[in-house]
This record gives sequence, structure tokens and C-alpha cells, in this order.
Amino acid sequence: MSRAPLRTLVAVSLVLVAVASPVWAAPSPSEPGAPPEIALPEVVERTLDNGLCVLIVPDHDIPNVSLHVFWRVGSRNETTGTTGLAHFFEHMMFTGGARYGAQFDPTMEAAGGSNNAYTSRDVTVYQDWFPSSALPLILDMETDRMSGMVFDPDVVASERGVVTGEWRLYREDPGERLLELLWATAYVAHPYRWDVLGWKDDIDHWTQGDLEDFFRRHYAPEHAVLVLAGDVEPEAALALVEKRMGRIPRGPGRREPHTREPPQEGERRVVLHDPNAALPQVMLAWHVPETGHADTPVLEVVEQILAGGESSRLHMRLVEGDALCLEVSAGLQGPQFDPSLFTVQAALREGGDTATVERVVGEELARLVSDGPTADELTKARNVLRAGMLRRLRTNDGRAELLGETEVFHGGWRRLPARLAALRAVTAADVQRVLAAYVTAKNRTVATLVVGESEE
Amino acid sequence: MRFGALVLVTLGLAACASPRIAPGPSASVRLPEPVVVRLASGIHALLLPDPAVPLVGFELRVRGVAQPPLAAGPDSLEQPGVASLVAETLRRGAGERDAAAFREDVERRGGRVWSSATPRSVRVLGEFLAEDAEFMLDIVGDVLLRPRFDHGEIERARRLAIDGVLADKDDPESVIGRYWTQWALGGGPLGAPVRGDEESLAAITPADVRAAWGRPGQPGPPGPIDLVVTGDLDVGRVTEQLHRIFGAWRADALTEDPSVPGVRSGVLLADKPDAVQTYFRFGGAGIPWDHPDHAARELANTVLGGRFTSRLNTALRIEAGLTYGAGSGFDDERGGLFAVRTYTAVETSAEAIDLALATYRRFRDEGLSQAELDSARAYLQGQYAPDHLETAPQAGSLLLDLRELSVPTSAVDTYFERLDAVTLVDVHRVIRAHFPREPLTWVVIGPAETLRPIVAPLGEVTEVSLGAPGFGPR
Repeated sequence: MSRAPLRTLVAVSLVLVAVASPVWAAPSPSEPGAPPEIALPEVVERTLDNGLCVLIVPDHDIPNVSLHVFWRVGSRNETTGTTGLAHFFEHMMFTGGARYGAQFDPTMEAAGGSNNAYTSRDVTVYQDWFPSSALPLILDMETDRMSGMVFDPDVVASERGVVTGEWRLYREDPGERLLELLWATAYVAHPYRWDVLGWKDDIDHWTQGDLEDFFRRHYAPEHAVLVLAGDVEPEAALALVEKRMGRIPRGPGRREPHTREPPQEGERRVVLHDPNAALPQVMLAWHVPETGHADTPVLEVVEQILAGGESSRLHMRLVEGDALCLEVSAGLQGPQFDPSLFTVQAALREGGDTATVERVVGEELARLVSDGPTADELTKARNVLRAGMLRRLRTNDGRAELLGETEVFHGGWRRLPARLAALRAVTAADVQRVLAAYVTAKNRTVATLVVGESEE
Repeated sequence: MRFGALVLVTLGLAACASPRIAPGPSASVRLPEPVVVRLASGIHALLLPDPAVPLVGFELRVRGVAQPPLAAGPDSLEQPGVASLVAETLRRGAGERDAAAFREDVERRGGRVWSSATPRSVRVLGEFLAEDAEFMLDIVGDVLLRPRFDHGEIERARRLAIDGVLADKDDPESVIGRYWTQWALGGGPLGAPVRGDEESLAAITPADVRAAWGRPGQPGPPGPIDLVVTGDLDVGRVTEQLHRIFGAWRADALTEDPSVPGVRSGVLLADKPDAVQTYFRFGGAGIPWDHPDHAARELANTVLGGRFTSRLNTALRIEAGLTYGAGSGFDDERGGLFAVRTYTAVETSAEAIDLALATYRRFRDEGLSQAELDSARAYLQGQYAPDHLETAPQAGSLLLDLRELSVPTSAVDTYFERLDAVTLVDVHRVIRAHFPREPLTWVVIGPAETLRPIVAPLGEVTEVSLGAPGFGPR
């Protein structure tokens, strides 16, 4: 969860675009009318001896910098009994470096900076936004908290209170509870089954030893990617990073999660009764491959066709046409390292019938499998994904986020063009094939929120 | 495609045509200089070219929508929600395109069009790939001059709005703002809920929505129009197209800026018996953006409740663990109405209310230190550019805000200097003069049975049920 009142970024959809060459190019002669390509920003990369990967993305439009540190640690790295620890660490990282300690935030704000962070099932990402004049200080502060944490028991107790409060806040939202139940039902073995917040009893029982062990194993430089985007000179910035963070030793190593989710061999259904919820909801999920898989670009296109914008199939049928829902969304739950979920989520109008919504969703999916998407729908998906990509490339923060994600989840930021080309190349037949493969009854989990108490 | 091992590729993003950053000792920021397009009277059009990425965008604001006739006087009944329905319906069919064709043609191009209403204006915004600049401006013309206001679409928009209010009432965080502004400022143009409430929306007819936009015998919007076009655009072609679209059309230049009413005192307690969290706000009249003490106001508020390590957040979240967030601020759309905002579990309502109030009182009584002042100044300057000026659409919105609230552009261009010039003595004077004194105005949402005894000492209490239509007494 992030520190300001923001929701967990569980689904950070990579909005990528086809690019065949890294320069401005006219539409290729073999594709008349094809939209022009996009330009990549300049990136300078270095991997330090301790394994820390550093990306510098210079831009001098404004005298500011956006810094992101991506740690390859999330709730998937937890074990039963100590769930919620990765998210708890997100909080602790603002309180306990040996030198700055509790002065971390006041020091950063006094230098003109602000910060935030988020934890997902796969990564924990720390973000700083500051004037470029503060770069040496900010790097010093980041080095401090990467180098070693001080787990003061009073601070631990206080932050445990904060995350408990956060847990309670999310419990009040019926939609969040339903989503938690959806994951817990769709996954029976893999750590994805529990929520990033963790189970309440685990939050209450972490020990000092749990914290120290978790930090030592997971917060090691070889598991991190540092991205600096904005008003920096690459070589000077790299020298600063090397001087400070280069001294941090590698970690002791860790076991990667080894429990794979067995194939789902029959539909799963779960119901949540909530006397306080005003409106019904229904969520459907299907198991799909991990983000790095070749079918992911096809699913990103499917997301747009099904529920991207108001002209999408599900919006037109459920929100506009039959007026069954207040809103509907669909898409990948990624980016994720391990096999993930594709979901459809619908918030119904008062008194709405979830069975009808399920039927309509099923009809639209079946139609898409049998008839495939129209040419217009494919064009729209490509254009939407391209426009989204351009928006992200327009700001320091967007560039840092996009390049960091690509580095972490796609085998390197250099693979951005390949992913873009793959999105552009998705055909109607691809859409039909992928839907037929994954969107089946056997592979489906359905979670329904029913208003009021159970009848029995 | 293969790339070199280290330095990579291509064109860095091109700098904006006019620099946003003026050279100077404190790296001050400056608004970009727009290209002014002289159209017919009543339309103020600006272009902000920016070739950084191949996107184009627009924002237009129309004033004078759904205002009661000037002759009707200040007591004439408002129809909260009409302007908002106008905004929603403008996107639902214009020119040759009905609602479905409009959204299909926009979205197939990867474009977006969205709209909203505020107390002063109806706003439509859009963003498209650069190659669709001409299409985008055609859409702007259609929306402004040929909106369809189809009966069915107005009904649909109204239904969605009512559903939205009902859904929002399930979540106090979504609605406390509406209860607050109506309680503090009454049911006039600045206090009434812009998106309407269950009753006001139910009473609005399609004829009302159409009447709010046109004038008899005159197509097009009723009031002055402000338009900004941004991005990777060809200035010559856009200018020519705008002339073509608007021709000799004239907008009514007259519009009355809503006056800021006095702030009502007392406590509004909105009962939500099943709530697990208590949400509350307290405050009173403040000062607006164009006030000479604006910079000092911002510095003081940053320390009190404008950032993560503010006094309020430090006390309530970091030290006491009572909440996930506490802050404060001045609402510049409503004459600078000031509020402290936070929430807590119902069980800790008394503690949180006491602590928030104590923190505010201490701030008013004791002021702040030089170190806090310096820190706040660095923070406001360090955060300004990415929040307001990094992209052309951001800069465009800022220009429109300044115009709408009659604040000169120098307010931005001299902002850093004004911040630099504020002394500790200034800040203390401003705190005493402009941060509201007691008795304060309060809105509290939560289970009344628990909260009644807690809020009783805060002032005269008026109680309503959250489930009752509307957002409290007007």
C-alpha cells in the first residue's frame, strides 16, 4: 500500500506500443495508413559490482528528478504465518535507516522533496520526487535505508498499528474484500493467494527476528533496479550512485518461491455476504500466464476490446445498453513474475442480479471467441495502447515507472521495442486462440458479493 | 532490434518551444507564453505548442451555464446538477454523431474526451494522437456549436448521476466534501453540490438541461468560452481551423461571478449508523488566491497540513496512529474556504477530534519556527514544476484556472519570489488574521449515537441522516 491515501497498485498495466526502430519513422510502406512509430528516450545503464542495476533517463525540461527503486520483493516472497511482511517493510523503510532514522521524511521535505511507495504481490517500489539540486542528499538517504535498518521496538509497534489501521480501512470496502476472496479462491497453493496486506493474525505476530531475516535476504542490492529520470547529467549521477550505493554488499542469497499453482480443473465459486454493502458486485477470474509470456500482449488487446473505454463491448452492454451495472472493468492483474489472473469486475446497480451479468459477460466472451474482434476494435486497441504509452513518456515520473517495470518484468528495458512490436502484431486469430485457451469454464473462478445476510 | 551496451538511442524528448524555467538564482518557474488566437468576441483561445511527444489536447471552459437570470436575484432557487448534466450530455452526441458514434470515433483513434462542471464553468477536455489534431478540433466545434442533447442521453446521464450519488453515500469519504461545502456556504452557487443530489436530479427535465445551454434563437453556449489547445500541433493549421470553425460566431460575454457568502457556524452531524470510521472537517472563511497574503498562506498551510510531515499528519498519523491521513487547505474555487480534514475509527473519534483541534489551536496560538518556514518554502518550490508545469495540458489548465478566478499570470511567474520574501513575522500575522478563529464550523459523519456527546461541546449541533436525500440543510 502507498503512504498517502492511495490504493495498492495491484494492476499496473503496461501500456506499450509497437516500434520497429528507435527513431522517428514514417508509416512503413508495407502497412499503408499504419500509425507512425514513437521515439524512445535516452537511457544510460550501468550494473554495479554488487548487482544493483542503475538506469539514468536524462531530461532537462524542468529542474526536477523522479527516482524509483524497484525491489524484487512482494507478498509472493512471504510464507504462511508471516504474510503482510513485504508491505510492512514498505512502511518500515521510512523510519529506520541508521543515520536518518525518523528524520527521513522531514529531511526530504526540507530539501523540497516528497515520496511515496507501493507494494504488490511481486515488487516493492519506492518513489522520490525532488529538485535536481537535492540529488546528492536524496542518494545519501536512499543509500542509508538500503544499507541497514534499525528495528526500534517502539517504532515497530507504532507502524504495526498503522498497517493494522490500513488493514481495517480496506476491510470496510466490500469490493476490496471480494477481490481478496477472489484471489484466495483462484489460488490454492501459490503465495498469490493471500493479499498484500496479509492476514490479520500474521500482522499481529511478526517478531523482531522475522523482520531482520526478511530485510537481510530480500533488501539486497542485487534484487534492485534504481531509475533516475529528469534533470541529471548521466555520468555525474552514476558516479554519485557508485560512490554511495556501490559499497553496499550483496545479500546472503534467498530461495525463490517454488510452489507452483497446480492447474485449475473445475470452476470455483465463492459468495460473500455483506449486510453493510449497498450494491452487488461480481468478479470473474481466469488463470493466465506470467507477464513475460508471449500471450500477454494478446491479453492486453483483449482488455481494450472488452472494457477499454465507453465504446467497449462490456461497457456498451452492461452500463449503457442493459443498464445493469454502474461500471465494469476487465484486464490483467499484472505485471507479475508468476502465472497471473485475467479478471472481469462489475459493480451492479441497486437490486441488480449478478447471474444476469455473468450470463451477459459469458455471451460477449463467446461471441469474441467465435467471431473474433472487428478490424476497428484492433485498430482502437493499438491506438489506445500507443496513446497511453506516449502519456507515460511525457513526464519524468512516467518514464521512470515505465522503464523500471520493463527492466524488472520483461527481461530488460531494452526489450521495450520488442514488446511494442508484439502488441502491434496481434491479430484477430490471436485473440480467438488465446481466449479459447484461457477463458474456459474449468479455468474460471467467480466471486459474488451479495447484499444483506445469508438466507440460511 | 539490437542496441549498444551503454548509452542508448535516439532523440531525447525535445524541449518545449518556450522554456518553462527562467534562469535565476532560485530556479524559478514561469508559465509558458501561449500563442493567442484572436477569434470572435467572447472566445479566448490559446495555443501551447509542445513537440515533446506526438499528442495533442484541448481544454475548454464555458461560463454562465445554468445560472439563474441576473434579474432573478440571489434568492432564486438553484437546480444543483444541471450544469453537471450539461457537461455529461455534451459528450453524448454532437453534430452528425449520436452518442455511440461519438464515442466510437473518438476511441477508435485512441482518443479520450471527458467533461465535468464546477461552480463557475462547464469543462470539456480531450486528448488525441497528434495525427488526429484536425479531427479533435472538429469535435470541439461540434460539441460547442452543435451538441445534440438527445432526450434519451439526458435521461441516461441523469440516471447515472443519481446512481452515483447513492453509491457515494455508502462511502463517507466520497461525500463529506459535499456536506461540508453546503453546510459551510449554504445552497447557493458555491455551496450546492455541483453534481446535484437525489432530489434535485430527479426534478431536472431534459428541457431544463437544454435551456441551460442555449439562448432562444442563438445556437451555442451561453457564456464566455476559454479554450486551450496543447501539444504537438501545427500553429498555422490549428489557427486556420479555429477561424473556420468559429467564424463570426459570438458568445455572450456577460457572466456574473458568484460571490462568496459568509460561512455558517455550528456543527452538522450526519448520521451513518453502520459506519466504522468517523470522517470530519472543521474550519471557516479563509483568503483567496489573489490576496496579497497568498504566499504566506501557502507556507503556513504547508506546515499545518499541506504535506506528509505536517503538524496534523505528524500528530494524528505518525505519532498517535489514529488515522491514515490528516491535512488542511484553502479551497480556491470557493473564495479560499479553509478546512482541516481527517478521519479515524469510530472508537477513537473523541481522541482524534481533540487532537486535531489541539494541533490547530497550538498552530494558531504559537505559530511556527524559522526552520519550519524554510522547510515549507523549499517544499513548495521543489514540488511546483512537476505538479503544475511539466506537461502542456497541465500548463494549459493552470492558465485557465488563473483566468477563471481573475488571478493575473504574474501570480505564478512571481510565486517563487513571493515565497522567498515571506518572513516569520509575516507568517505569524497571516496565521492570526486569516486562519479562522473559533467558533469553527464542523461537519462530522459517523454513527450519531456514539458521536452526539462528542460533538456537543463543539457548537450548536444540527443532525441529519446520511440516508436522507440531499447533503444537509441548504
